[in-house]
Amino acid sequence: MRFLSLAILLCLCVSTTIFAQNPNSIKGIVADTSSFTRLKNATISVLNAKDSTLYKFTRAAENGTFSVAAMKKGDFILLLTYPNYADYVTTFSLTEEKNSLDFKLINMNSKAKILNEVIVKGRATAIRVKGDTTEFNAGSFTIQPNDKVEDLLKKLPGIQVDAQGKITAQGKTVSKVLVDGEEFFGDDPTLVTKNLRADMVDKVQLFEKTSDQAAFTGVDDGQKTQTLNIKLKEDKKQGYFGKIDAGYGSDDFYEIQAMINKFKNKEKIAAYFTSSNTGKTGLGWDDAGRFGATGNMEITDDGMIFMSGSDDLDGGGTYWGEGIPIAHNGGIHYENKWNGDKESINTNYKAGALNVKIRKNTLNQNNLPSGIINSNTDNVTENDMFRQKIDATYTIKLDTSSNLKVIIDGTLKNTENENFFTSTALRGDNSLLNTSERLTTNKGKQQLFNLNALYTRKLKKPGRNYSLNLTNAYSNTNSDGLLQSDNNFYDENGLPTRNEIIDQLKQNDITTNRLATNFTFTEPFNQFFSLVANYGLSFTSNDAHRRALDASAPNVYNQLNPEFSNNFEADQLINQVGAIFSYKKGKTVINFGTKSSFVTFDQKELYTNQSFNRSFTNWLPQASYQYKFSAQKSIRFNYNGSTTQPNVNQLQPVRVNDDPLNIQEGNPLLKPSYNNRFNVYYNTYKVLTDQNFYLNGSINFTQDQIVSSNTTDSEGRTIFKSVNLDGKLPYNASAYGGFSRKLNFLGGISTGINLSVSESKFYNYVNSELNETSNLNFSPSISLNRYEENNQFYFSFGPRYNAQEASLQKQMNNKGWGYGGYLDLLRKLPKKFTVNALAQYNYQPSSAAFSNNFEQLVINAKLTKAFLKDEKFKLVLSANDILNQNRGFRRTASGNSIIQTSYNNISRYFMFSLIWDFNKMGGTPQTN
Amino acid sequence: MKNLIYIISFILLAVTLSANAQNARFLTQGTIEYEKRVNAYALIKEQIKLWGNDSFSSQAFESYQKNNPQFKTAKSKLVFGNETTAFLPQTEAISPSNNWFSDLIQFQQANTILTDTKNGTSTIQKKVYDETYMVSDSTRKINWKITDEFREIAGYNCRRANALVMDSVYVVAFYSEEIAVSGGPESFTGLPGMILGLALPHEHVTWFATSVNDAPVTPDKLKIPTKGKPVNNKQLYDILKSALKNWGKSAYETFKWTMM
Repeated sequence: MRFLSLAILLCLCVSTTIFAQNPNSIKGIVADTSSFTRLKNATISVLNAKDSTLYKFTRAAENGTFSVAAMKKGDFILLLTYPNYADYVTTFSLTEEKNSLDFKLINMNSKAKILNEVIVKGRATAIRVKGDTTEFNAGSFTIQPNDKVEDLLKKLPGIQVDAQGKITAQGKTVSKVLVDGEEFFGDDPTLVTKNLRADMVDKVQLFEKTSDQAAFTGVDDGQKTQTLNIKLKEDKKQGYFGKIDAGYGSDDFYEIQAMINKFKNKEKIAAYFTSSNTGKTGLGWDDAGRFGATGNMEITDDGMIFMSGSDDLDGGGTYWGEGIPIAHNGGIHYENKWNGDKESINTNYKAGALNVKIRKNTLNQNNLPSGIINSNTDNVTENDMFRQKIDATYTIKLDTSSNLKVIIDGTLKNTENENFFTSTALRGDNSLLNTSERLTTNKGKQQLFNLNALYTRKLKKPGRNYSLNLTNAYSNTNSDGLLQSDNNFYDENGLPTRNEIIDQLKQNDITTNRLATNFTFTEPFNQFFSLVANYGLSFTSNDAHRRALDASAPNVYNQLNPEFSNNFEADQLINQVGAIFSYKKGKTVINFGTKSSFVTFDQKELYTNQSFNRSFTNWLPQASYQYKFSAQKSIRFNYNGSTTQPNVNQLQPVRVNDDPLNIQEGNPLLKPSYNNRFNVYYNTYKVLTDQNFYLNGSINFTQDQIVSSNTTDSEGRTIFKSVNLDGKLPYNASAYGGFSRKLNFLGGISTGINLSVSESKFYNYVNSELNETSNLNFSPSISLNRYEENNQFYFSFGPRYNAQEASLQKQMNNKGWGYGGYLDLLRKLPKKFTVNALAQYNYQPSSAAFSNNFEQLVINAKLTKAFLKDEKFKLVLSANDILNQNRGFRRTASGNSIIQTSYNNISRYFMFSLIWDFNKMGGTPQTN
Repeated sequence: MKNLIYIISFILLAVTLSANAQNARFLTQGTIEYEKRVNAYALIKEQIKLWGNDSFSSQAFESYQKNNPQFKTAKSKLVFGNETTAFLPQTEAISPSNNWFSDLIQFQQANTILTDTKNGTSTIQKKVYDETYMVSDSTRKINWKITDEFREIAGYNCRRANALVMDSVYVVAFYSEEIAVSGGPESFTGLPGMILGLALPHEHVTWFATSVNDAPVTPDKLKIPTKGKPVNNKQLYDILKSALKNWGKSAYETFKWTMM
């Protein structure tokens, strides 16, 4: 006996050592005494009494015994559960004194199924029944500001919510509560407090939902559950926001922009106005996005954005960086959605005026087999344009599988141009060849009208769908203007040989009307392989009446000049069929197919009664292969082929005498050319290390290319004619690639190296001799960038090698190393100051063709000080081209010409602006 | 005589016990198939709010709604037996469509998990974008709050438990004691039974078992690929923290879902 006590003591000591910290334990036996059963595997859960969180759990052994050891002290809940038995719950405590507990035999009872009686009360009023769905309008029931959804539900007729939150609707237990279609589980207020509030609810829908399986397969398995769907109010936009930005600077530069957007639910009205002489010809991209006038934008499921019907004023109109523009623009926008978002409308009215004054000088070196002609041209232009456009887009969801979209727009455009032009051409030996002086004026009026309707329908088989598109485009241009020119030609000794004077009134009336339909059908053969087939028919009629009137007396233009007058009526009919197959499986995507157009063209000249008929076929084959190794790594190959038909002007040009030194001539023997383009693209990106590598190569070559054949006569007049290139294959090959990576030792700056190489050969004929122009470009560069909220910059710099050589004038090549650099930085300073700077550096070396090098560093900078807590008010001091180096300058070489252009543009100015962002948006608070 | 009565009652008890034991069957091995459902519309709406509502992203959302259902689903399975569970997401083809929202991190099934329920440890093959990690650590300690709510999932009666993980993510789990393995989808475990339903209501994601198969599981099924850079939770946390440093607001979701 003594020995036994010792042993127990020893055991105790051991267990005390093991469970020194938590010496407490419980044990017991789980059984169903009514059937003399020990409940093996019954679950024993010990919960903390204060918050019913799970502390420990175990399972009953074979004989129903259980024990939970190593427990802390405290108050607990013991929860015994067994399938189909009522839960056994009891509380207990473990203390210093009472550190173990034996529950002995715990008896569990089989669950008795009790059917809950339900009381239906209330009448079915203020309830709308939509098919199987009963809909309650939350707004028609009075709720208190902080009512929970349960409080709202209690108020709805036929719905009861009991103390446990169980919902009964029309006598049936609601087994699922959905919020905007997603199951609502209810929050535990001790863990999270993001409860739905009653005032966030728009509608409560009660319906018998088919089982998820049935919803998925579309086969009704007859299982229905009473479901309550709580539709929340959309994040209601109510109120307005806008921006006023006004600046005035040195040399009378100014910029004004005002914009307001007003919302009422889904209805939006917006208006804007901009006026400036700084080259800002409309709302920028950012503001245009906020303005919402993007009705003609289509985003496909592949994430591509298609914009149609771009406005020439938004895009800069007749301003391309040359000259000084004065632009005024304004517009109003209205959009709305109704009928449960099934119908929507988006309309815009815009008006804009643009005036651009350009002074331009062009030096042209024309390399001829017989020698060089250098011409120097001065050009003073003033363009005026006033344009109004109205457009409307209406979309309707006809049913769950079909949509209709109709876009209508109309434009009225008035233009006025005046162009004064003087040129002098010298031979290679500096002797005078010709001089020209010309004044052209033009006043035009253009009317445009477009209608587009697109009907799409998905069919029952997944992936099978078709669409039908109908387009009508009408355009009418009326213009008249004067052509007055005086051209003098000289011989080698500088003596005048000939003088040509033109004084004509030109009247043009051109109408184009195009009607087109296109039917597209997508047929999935199986999960991976599908076909997109299309058939299109389009008909275009084009009436172009151009009249040249000679003067019978000064300023009396009444004699029709038959040589330069014509009246064409042309009809074109195109049948297009196409079939593109696509295969998508796993990581592979393959596309291949072709589109073919069969074109017939009939043209008649009414003055001479000459007809011109052609019919031809265009082929557009395409193939691509893409392999996606992962979401961030892929390789793609592309091939595209296309036929290029000679255009009517190349075949049989309208005789134009606008520029007596450059004359177009037709070539009825022209054949179509065929272009092949191959592309390969490889990209890999490692997100965590911000490491990127990409490589892109492409080659492009053309068979039977239509090239220009220029014949310059001894007077310096050039006659342009198009011919098919014979026996040579012009090509253009390029490759560019880059590698960049975030470097931690540089404080997280991303560093990259880029390389771009291109080579091309193209041809033309000069005075019947073949001229081959070869181009080689090589430009490596490095870049550094960092993007942080308060400190951002992007810097790149690199040399550029450029070699251009024309076979006819090898000694006049253009070869050398240039440099380019770019820096863009933003830095937020204390006291709400922000500094922005943008610098661009460009160096072009001198060469055999260009005797001077060209160097330019343009720096723009901006200092912004924001006021008020939300930075709604800003003062901006900006400087454009601080170093005053932005000279309009361009060097190009094409065919046998090397051209250097300089023009007036916007250079240094300083400006002081005020920006005020105003915002008064209300509406319902959001879910979180 | 007294002894005889004891013996008889014991035999009787033993007989009923074995008879009754068949009534409640407790699974210790089998295969569960889960369906993950993500409320894409709700997530995209929140994403757009983060980007600051502009008409481009809301049009992209409209186009998404036109071409995609509200819920994006994905399948996975959990193989369990021998006090081990293997969570195996069904690898899906990389979506060839590149719409603006196809890469939401919530859509991805990045984790393949082998859990030792006896010792409370797990090994996770975790894909973080292009990197693969093998995370070995103890299983997540979740302070489950047991409730009185029940629902039937895949034929099993499940009890609801709520919890908060990673300080802010609200989790609702439905577990069945009839599967006597303390496992669950992804890294959610620690209940006295198998989790057959799991919801992250504020993240708009749920996993629900669609079927439970009790066919015996051979040990070779309880394996996961072992390729990956070995790390523990703390090391992974540090790697992510430095990589996502400059991501601004969008880092939060990436961080949360990568660590989950």
